[in-house]
Amino acid sequence: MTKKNNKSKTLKITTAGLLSAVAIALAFTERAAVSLLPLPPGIRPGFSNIVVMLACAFVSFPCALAIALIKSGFVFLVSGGVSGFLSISGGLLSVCVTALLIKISKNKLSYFGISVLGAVAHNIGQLIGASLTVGSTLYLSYAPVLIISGVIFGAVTGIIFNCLAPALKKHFI
Amino acid sequence: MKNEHSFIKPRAGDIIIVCVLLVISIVIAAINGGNKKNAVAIIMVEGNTEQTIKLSDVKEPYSITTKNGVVLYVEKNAISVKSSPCKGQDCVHCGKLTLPGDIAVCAPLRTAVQIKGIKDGVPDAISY
Repeated sequence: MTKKNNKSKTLKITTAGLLSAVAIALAFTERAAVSLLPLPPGIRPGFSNIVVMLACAFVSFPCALAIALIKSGFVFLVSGGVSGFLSISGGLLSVCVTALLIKISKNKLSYFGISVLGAVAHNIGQLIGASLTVGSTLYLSYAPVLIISGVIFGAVTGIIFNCLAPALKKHFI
Repeated sequence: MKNEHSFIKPRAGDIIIVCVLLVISIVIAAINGGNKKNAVAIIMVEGNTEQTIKLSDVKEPYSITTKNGVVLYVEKNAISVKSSPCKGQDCVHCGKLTLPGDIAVCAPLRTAVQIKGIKDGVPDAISY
C-alpha cells in the first residue's frame, strides 16, 4: 500500500516536473521569437498556457499551480523581480480561472472558450500586478489592448489544445 | 474526468465569451478616450504624479528626465520615452503617445506616462 502511494506520489512529481520543463521551454522560445514580431509592448502569445490547460484538464489543479509557480521562478531568474511578480500574478489568476471553468462549465464552453478566458485572466492578472508595482491605476487604460490580445492568442492556444487534447488524454488518464 | 471530450466540441458559449470581451474592451477604450486637441500627459513616478503637461501648448520639442532617470521627449500633441535605464526597454518601444488612453509603463522603475483627454479645461477621470 505504501509502495503504491509512493509510486503515485513519484508519478505526480515527475509529471509536474516534465510539464514545467515543457512550459519553460515554450516560454523561453516564445521570448526569443516575440522580439521578431511587431507586437505591442508587454504582449506575449502565451503558448505555455497550453501546458497549464493540459495540467488543469488531465492532471490536477495542484500540478497546474506548481507549473505556474515554477515558470514564474524561471522568469524571476531570467528577467528579475518585477517580471517574476508580473508572471506570478498573471499565472495564478489564469490557473484559477482555467481550473474553475473546467470544473463548472461542462457543455457550456469548449477548450477554445476556456483558453480565451484563461489568456485574458493572465493578462488582467499581469495588469493588476503592474498597477500595484507602478502604484497607479493609470495602467488600467491598457486593458483593451490586453483583453483583445488575450482573445486572439487565447483562441490560437485553444485551437492548438483542441487538436492535441484527444491524443494527450490517452497519456494522462 | 469522464467528460473531457465534451470540451472539444465548440459551444455557443465560446462565441458569447469572445463577443462580451470585445464589447468590454471597446467600452473601456471609449471611456479612456477624449479630446485629442486638449490632451494632457501625466507622468507618474512611484505612484505620485511628478508632472502634468498640456501637449497642445507645447511650442518647441524638449526632453525631460524623471527623478529615476527615464528620459521623455515632449513635442506638440505627443510624448515618448526616449531612453530608460531599465532592462526590458518595453517603455521605449511604446513609441509616440498621441491619443487619450495611450500609455507607456516602465514597471521596473515604477514609472508611467499616460495621455488623458480633457473636457472644458478639466481632465476627466483622473485620480490624483
